Amino acid sequence: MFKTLLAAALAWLIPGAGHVFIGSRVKGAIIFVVIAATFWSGILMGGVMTVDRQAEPMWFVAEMLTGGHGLTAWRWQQSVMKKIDKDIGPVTSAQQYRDLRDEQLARRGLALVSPVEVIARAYSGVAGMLNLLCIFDVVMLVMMRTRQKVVRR
Amino acid sequence: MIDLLKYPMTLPPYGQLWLLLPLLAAVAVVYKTVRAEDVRRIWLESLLLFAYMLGGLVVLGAILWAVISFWP
Repeated sequence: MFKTLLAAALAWLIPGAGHVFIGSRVKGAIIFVVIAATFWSGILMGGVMTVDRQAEPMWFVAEMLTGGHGLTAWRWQQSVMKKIDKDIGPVTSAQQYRDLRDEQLARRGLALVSPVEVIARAYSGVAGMLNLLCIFDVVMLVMMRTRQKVVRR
Repeated sequence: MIDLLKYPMTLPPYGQLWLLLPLLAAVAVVYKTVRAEDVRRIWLESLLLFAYMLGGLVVLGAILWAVISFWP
């Protein structure tokens, strides 16, 4: 059970690491390169605001499935948002905050608008969903191998 | 480099559909990497899946285009 959880955690944190952990180094390397390239292509197109928990919570969940990549991009987005929040100052309502936030983002050239928004989030989100597939694969492989060992005994 | 990643790109209004191709390639490669038993066959199988998905999307696009254009 511990090995399964460790493999799943590794596969989530560093895409491909789960496969390397179970001995499939080539597969792990391919997964790492393709998922990293897909995720960061999305960030390249959409900029730092591609990973945005407030604006797009569903895409955010998908992006977080890339593990370290998603967390790095989120941390970066948070640091940018901290500066923006400082400039916004105190607000009286959520709507006012949203308006001022959008205004600040547009002023700094960070605002994501369609169609770039959709394409960028599709890239980074699909990268996350592909990693979910890899996490499932690693978990299934570890469980099957454990089961085979038990049957052999 | 960081600035390149920080600000959104301006994509040309036409030809954005071409951006579907790398995404399809990524899906095909990761899916086949996960499924393939023989590592040497990954690239060939990925290429076939890529062509299959692209063909499917082209057909789907053509059907939708026909529906939009000719539906009374």
